[in-house]
Amino acid sequence: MATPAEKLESAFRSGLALPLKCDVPTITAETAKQWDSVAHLQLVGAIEKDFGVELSPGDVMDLDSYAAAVGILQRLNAWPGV
Amino acid sequence: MSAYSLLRSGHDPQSRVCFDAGLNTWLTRAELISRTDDFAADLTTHLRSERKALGFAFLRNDLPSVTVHLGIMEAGHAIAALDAELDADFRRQLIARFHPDFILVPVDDIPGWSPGEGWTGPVMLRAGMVLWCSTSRPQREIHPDLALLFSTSGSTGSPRFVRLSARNLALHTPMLNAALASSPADVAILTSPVFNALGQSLIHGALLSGGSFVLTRARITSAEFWNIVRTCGCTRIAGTPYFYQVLDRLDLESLNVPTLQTFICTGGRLPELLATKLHGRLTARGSTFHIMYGQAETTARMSGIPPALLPAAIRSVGFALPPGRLWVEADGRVCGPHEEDELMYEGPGVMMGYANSSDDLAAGDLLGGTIATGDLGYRDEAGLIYITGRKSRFVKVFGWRVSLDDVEEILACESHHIAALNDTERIVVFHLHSDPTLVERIHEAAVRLRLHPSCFTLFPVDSLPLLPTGKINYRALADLLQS
Repeated sequence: MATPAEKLESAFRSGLALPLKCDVPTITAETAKQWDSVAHLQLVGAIEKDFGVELSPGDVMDLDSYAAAVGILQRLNAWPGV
Repeated sequence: MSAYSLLRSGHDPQSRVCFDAGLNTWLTRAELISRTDDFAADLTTHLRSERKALGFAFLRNDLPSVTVHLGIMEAGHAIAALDAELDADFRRQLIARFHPDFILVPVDDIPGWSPGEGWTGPVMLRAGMVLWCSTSRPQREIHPDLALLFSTSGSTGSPRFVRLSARNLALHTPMLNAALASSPADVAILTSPVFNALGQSLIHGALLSGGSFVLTRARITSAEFWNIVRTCGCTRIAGTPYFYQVLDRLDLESLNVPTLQTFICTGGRLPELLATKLHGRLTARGSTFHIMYGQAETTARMSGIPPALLPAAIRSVGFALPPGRLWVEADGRVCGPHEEDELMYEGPGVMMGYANSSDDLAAGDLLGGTIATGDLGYRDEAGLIYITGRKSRFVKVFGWRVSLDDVEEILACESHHIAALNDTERIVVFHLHSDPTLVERIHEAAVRLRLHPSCFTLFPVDSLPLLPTGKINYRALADLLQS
């Protein structure tokens, strides 16, 4: 079974269509060229599907980095406890 | 020479015209005019010639880009409005083919940006953009009427521009403003780049109506974007169908943007279900929904559904905006109701023609105000126009214009036949054999065409249906997709 971190990394790679060399855990919308609004909704869809959660409109807008995704998943109790 | 003059439309010079979210600053009309004047003076100094020149401007949604864009046209030169993020190879190809006299680039892009041999620069201008001038001014003519070039080729394939005159803009803008009931109270926010027809139409519309426009580089999915809408008190927003999908996902009511009252959708077909849902939501909050149809070839818009006819007419693209005219024509004959063929358009925004190379810039108006749209459709008894498909091989995916021939060219390799077909926001790739490198090539195509890889759907077939001419039978493929 994939760990949550592996699942999230894979959701980022497919959602944002990232190149292999990209270091996913440090990614932010500010720095990733691929992170446009089309990719953004793909990423939201990938996270919702892989973690079986539904992001609120506020979550969708807050999602601007890998770290933010972890924060959202923690709030939704879909990430191992801190 | 007919220079562009919408910037000087006679409105109060002290009224606000443009907000740059990056600078967090409003500009008055007087300030914007002063900036474009300074830019034009700088440009003249460096060009060292009074001759009409072609400028390549690599733009993004900020004040320096708008300043140089308007300034070039005001000075009577021609501008090719281009994407600052354009792929470097394609940029070089464009420069080699059209020989611009000067190039303008955002300041931040200077590291790593060079036009190559034969250029003097970079020179930092007061407008906040960087200028390169060609050392050998090309000995070609630019037609006196030419004002603006839009790139229609996406980012691959043969570079091609739509040629628009100052007259096109001067006549199309009031037509569109009348349809949208534009007023000096409008505050329009751009969701699309300033270098495309949709972004441009909002800017020109605001300049003419006495309203204002808001520029930001924030993504429409970010909280920052909607904060800007809220704090600027934006009243109108225009976007492609994709923008409306995002809006639906974000839930308009939770965005808390009560001043936003005019919603414009153009640049592709909004799925009927979503259109109906959005129309219901917008009507409930007292907003107006304009569903429109247009092309860069007609400056921007051709038709729109009168809001009063929604939701009944939601499947149509409405009526031609007066004084334009839309009709269906088959082999030179005007078709009756429900007879399907190519849509023809006559109106003030119809381009002068295309430019495939530098030589074409000397040409005058080749179309005389009438254009075959490349779209297939019909009209009903009431005169409402419906679009059913595309005759030409250019399609819109998420608002980006894509040539399906380019897709086929990128994907094809020696032993595999590929056919591409657009199925509303998806490119369906029909392919013959199982091909381990196809997925890789789709990724490559996505990068080059600036699309998300999920825009492509694979569809394996035993053989590609052919027409008697030996060409691919796309209609048969479309039927296959339906079944």
